[in-house]
Amino acid sequence: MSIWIDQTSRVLVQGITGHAGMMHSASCLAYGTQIVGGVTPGKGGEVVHGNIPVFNTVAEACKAVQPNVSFIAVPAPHATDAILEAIDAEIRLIVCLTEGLPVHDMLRIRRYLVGSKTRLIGPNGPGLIAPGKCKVGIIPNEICKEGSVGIVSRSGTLLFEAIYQLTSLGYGQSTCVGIGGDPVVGTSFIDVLKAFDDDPQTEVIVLIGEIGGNAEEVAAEFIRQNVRKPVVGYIAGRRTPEGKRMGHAGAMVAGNTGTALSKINALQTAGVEIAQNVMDIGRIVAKVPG
Amino acid sequence: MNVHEYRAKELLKSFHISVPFGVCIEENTSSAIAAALRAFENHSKVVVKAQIHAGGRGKGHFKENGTSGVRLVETEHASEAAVGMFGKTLMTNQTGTDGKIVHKVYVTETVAVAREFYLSLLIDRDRQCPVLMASDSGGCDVETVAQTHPEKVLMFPVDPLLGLQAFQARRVACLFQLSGGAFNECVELLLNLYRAFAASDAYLIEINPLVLTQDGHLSALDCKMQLDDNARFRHENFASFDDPNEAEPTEAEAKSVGIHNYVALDGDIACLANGAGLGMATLDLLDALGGKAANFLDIGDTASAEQIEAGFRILLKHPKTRGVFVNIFGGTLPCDRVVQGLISVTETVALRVPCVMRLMGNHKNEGLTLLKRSGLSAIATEDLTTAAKAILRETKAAL
Repeated sequence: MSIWIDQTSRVLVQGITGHAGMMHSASCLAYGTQIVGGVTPGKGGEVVHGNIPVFNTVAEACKAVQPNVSFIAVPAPHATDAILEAIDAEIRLIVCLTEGLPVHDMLRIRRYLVGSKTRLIGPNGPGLIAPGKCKVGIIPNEICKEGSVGIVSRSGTLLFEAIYQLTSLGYGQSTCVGIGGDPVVGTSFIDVLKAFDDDPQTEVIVLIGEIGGNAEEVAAEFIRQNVRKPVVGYIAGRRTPEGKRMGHAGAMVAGNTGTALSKINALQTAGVEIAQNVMDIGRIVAKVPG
Repeated sequence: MNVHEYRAKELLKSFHISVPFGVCIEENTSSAIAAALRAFENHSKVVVKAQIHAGGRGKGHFKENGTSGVRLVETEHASEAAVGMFGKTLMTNQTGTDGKIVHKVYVTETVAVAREFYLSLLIDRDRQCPVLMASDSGGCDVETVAQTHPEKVLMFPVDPLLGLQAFQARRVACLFQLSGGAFNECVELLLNLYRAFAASDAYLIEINPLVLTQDGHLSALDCKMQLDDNARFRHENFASFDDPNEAEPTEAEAKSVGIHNYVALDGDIACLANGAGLGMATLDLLDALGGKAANFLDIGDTASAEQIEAGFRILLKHPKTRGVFVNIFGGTLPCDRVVQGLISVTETVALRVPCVMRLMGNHKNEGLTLLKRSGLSAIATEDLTTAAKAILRETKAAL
């Protein structure tokens, strides 16, 4: 079993006729993801990739093709509306790749999610992949291998790095999730940790964090109290100056909060094995017993 | 994005929040200064305030003449005070020892202050909601007050769907112990402030101090404002808030060619990575191996050929650069596009320093082949540790 997506997932792509939408949906289709439709307002009735119907609205698509996952690949000025539309249509899982959503929009979206039937992954992340089963997003599938390591990361490219190392060492993955680099995201480390801990396929969990905020500290406390499976951690940004935004809107050390050291200490206290160097992630996982 | 005090106050004013009357002098010429001061002919005293993106100006001082960044002067001496700020380096507890050069000076009327308060609205990422903070100890460091006298600080979350409610605003007016007209004025001000915060896509609006004047009205004496760069697409006025003088020169140059994720650092190995996390991990790795990065540059995973070329141009231009280190793990980004970027740039700018490229992921083999064919002296490998060790070895050898 993987978490949140598998062979049965029925994926709708919002923004399917755009450049990013076409490219990413083609890659997901090639991997075997069941894409059941797309949405582009004004282009309803068209067909893309040979046989995939395009609808004007998510509601229309739901009626016709019953998706349970929505993959959002629309630019920032339209992404908020696209997310709200999918929540309103009670899509179970939304994966939003879009970079540059205003933080006030994300605050309102998070509030709108409370009590809804939807989980939102992202924005500003690479999506997720259950190797051998389903891919929703842009994680390069050729580096993945089906197996028992569950990986969660704020950074997309660091997630790729970790997957690559694990696969090279012969360790496959149950599910790989990029939660996104923004200060406010739909799914937290804790949500993913909990799902991995409950997932029979996952035996070891890898958590990749970075400077800024306190999500890793909160995750550490959750691990200490709840997670039964071994967790390996890596934190990027030990050598970054205070007060500078390091690429991700969420990656910034402010005063003495959000530092790599504080996160590493918290995770170690919770029993997490820390990879001191990015190139050690695979090797540390290999050392974990079981 | 930080906003100068005078622009922040203009914005507050447009949301019906009172601020002291003021005029900003944008250039250091006697005519510009005289024109600004003409508005204060009927005032015996004025406040002259240096405009830089850093707090602590009042307690800070100029490197050149030791005077403060905020001065209360007789109007007849205002011109001198302004001249004494233009082009000078102001050092405050937030600027570090380098200080910041003043390019704009704001002159305001004086206000007869009865009491001072602290007020701010900010996005609390840990709580994932807007938070209002208020204190009846104005003009001070609110974090210190929160620790030493927690009873003097009121802090509560605001529902982003509902916005600030009147009952919440009344709690603040009670904390300030206001009564009568001032009480209602305070409630009105808070509701307007939240409207300004949400409508302007602000990360932070801090009014410190907010004052009760001797004639019983509220006025925002100082304002610090940070707006969300991501919201630029729906705010035409954001571009006018930018002050190129405030940015580090290479960072400003990077921005001007569409590279937003560039941070200057103090080492000598120029770095380019696709992705923020990978970029940070690259700096950490170099550091662990005994090297120092000259910068952080996240080109992103969807960079165009033009952005990549612009990135390389900036890296090669930097006088401190003694080596170039590229770390690409292509998800969407094809590795050969990055290699092509380097090739294109070196057609006009000679590659005088060692260059090591780590190429993995999307179109890795195409990238490696393209580089080999180009005849460039850059080293390429798919292993990150090998690559990092190579750039350190090569930069040392080139010394």
